[in-house]
Amino acid sequence: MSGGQLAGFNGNLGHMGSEWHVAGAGDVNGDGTADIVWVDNRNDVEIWQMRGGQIAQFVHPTGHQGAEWQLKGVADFTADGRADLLWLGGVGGAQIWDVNGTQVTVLQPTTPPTVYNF
Amino acid sequence: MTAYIVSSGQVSSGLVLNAGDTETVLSGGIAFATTVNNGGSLIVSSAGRAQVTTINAGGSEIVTTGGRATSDTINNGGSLIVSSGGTALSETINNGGLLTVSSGGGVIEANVNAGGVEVVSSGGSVSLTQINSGGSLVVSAGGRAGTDYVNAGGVERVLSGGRELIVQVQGLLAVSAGGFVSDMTIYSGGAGYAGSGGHFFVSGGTATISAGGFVSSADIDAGSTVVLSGGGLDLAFIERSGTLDLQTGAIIGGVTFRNDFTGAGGLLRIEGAAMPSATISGFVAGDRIDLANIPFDPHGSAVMTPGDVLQVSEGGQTYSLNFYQAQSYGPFYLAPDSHGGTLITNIQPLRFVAPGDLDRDHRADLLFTSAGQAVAWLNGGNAFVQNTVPNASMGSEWSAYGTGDFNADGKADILWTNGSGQAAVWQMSGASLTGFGIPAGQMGGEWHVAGIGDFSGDGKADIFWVSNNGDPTIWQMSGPQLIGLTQPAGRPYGQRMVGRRHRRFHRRRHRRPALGIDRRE
Repeated sequence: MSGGQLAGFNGNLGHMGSEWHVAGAGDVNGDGTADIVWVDNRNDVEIWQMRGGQIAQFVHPTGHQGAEWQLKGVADFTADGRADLLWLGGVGGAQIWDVNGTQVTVLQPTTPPTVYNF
Repeated sequence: MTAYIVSSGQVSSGLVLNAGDTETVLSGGIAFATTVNNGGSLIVSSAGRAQVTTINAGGSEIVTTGGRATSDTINNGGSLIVSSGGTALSETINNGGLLTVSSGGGVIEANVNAGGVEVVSSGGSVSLTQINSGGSLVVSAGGRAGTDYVNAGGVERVLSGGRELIVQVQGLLAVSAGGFVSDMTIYSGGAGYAGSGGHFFVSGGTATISAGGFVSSADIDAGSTVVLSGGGLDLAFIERSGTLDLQTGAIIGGVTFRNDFTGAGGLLRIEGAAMPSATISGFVAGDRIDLANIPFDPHGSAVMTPGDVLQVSEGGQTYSLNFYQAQSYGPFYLAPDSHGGTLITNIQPLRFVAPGDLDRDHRADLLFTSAGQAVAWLNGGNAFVQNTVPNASMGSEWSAYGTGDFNADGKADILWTNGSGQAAVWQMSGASLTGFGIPAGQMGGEWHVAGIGDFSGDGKADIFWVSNNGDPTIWQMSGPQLIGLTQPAGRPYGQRMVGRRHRRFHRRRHRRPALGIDRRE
């Protein structure tokens, strides 16, 4: 977009199976361009690293999350300039995935006791 | 007094060992159908084999390093010892027979008949044991047993420090203080008794107590589940994230939640519409009771009444639960579980909205809502701290859509929408409301907000609307003021645009990631 006008349009970038949905977008690899984060119904994650409106690379982080977790957001929780993945658990709690390429560093910040009303 | 030595390539068959006789089976040797009588001794070591041995009163067989015994019968007064590195398969222990499994020894598929005893001591292990009527398996300190069957009339005792990993019980399973049992199933006619000061300690597995089965008390550790499917359990202790699942017809005496404030609470799941009469105690923040088959009613209520009875009203029905000294647990809240049922908690259930850097520390915070109030979890690096935004709430027609920096102060603000095409902006600084406004604009009922982002490039987040037929409209915003309205050309293949947030996928000279949520230039 540019000043409220459509400056460019890219359709059909790629296609994922129906078990996948977009969980969010954010600059996961820190290259200044937002990337697209997908999650499937088994809580596997795939990231489309974007550049210039095109998919530059598919990345499959090595982590896997149990069914009691939901991927709820993509944002920089660690102030390192790279977006992280936010998981919220069915029995409360939160996990942050700091993704670097295919490597996942799992952070488990302390949270207040919680019941999520998803 | 004869000493037989059976070494490599040799086979003894049908030997009878009487008082003072010894037979030693070494590597490559086989002793077949030996009978060991009073005072006789068979030693199977270093890769030797013994098959179909009969051990009578006073006779003994020792299976040690590398030795293996198969299909032995231990009769009254006979003794089989399986020690370091020895293994025994398919043993039969009859009345008065004793099988001892000591450090490093392993026994698979023993049949313990009436009057027979198998003892597993420190470092020994057994599996696939059949404990028949009158037979007994004792797992003592350091001993391990797994996948065993306590048949009707059989008894297994797990003493302090002993471990039984998977067991099916139609007889009696007795666990002493300090004994450990995981993954047990107690069937009709079976019973589990915890000795003085002891409990069944179910850790990391599932214990099922079926109709007709009975357990005196069970500790349900984090991550494990006890299913009470029609059987009886006198006392349940739900530790941290343990689960007690009460199925229809279950009999339960009392439920105690034990919470060490790690943030993951215990769960009591009640299936069916009949509430248990058991008294519930220790219910603290994070613990939950799931009325799995009571559909969640947004107009329902949970009220503690005199006598410590919680009255849950849902869909015109009232359900009662008994608490112990409940006045210290309330107030109570209802929330939907993930399967359409109702959760009871004593903390405010939170609806997640979005991440956003509310306090400009470059670490995204979390925004939730609860009953029209905004609840911020401020990100302190390794802990989230909860703050309800004070002195502010929205009516029930409004719901928080997401976060964005509408006034370019580097701090995420909150966008609310209602069902009538209106928007409202809360300007935030951390968990404090610093400004509020409803933009002077209203969209028709076919429009909904589909994203928040800085579409104009002025550093302030704008609001992206999409109509039911895919037409986009952007409200250009400055704080809560609507300062421009544009309708970009383009429509995505006649499809409906969905998604909470549309972000920029092109690099800009100065970085403005994530639609101004996280602005830091």
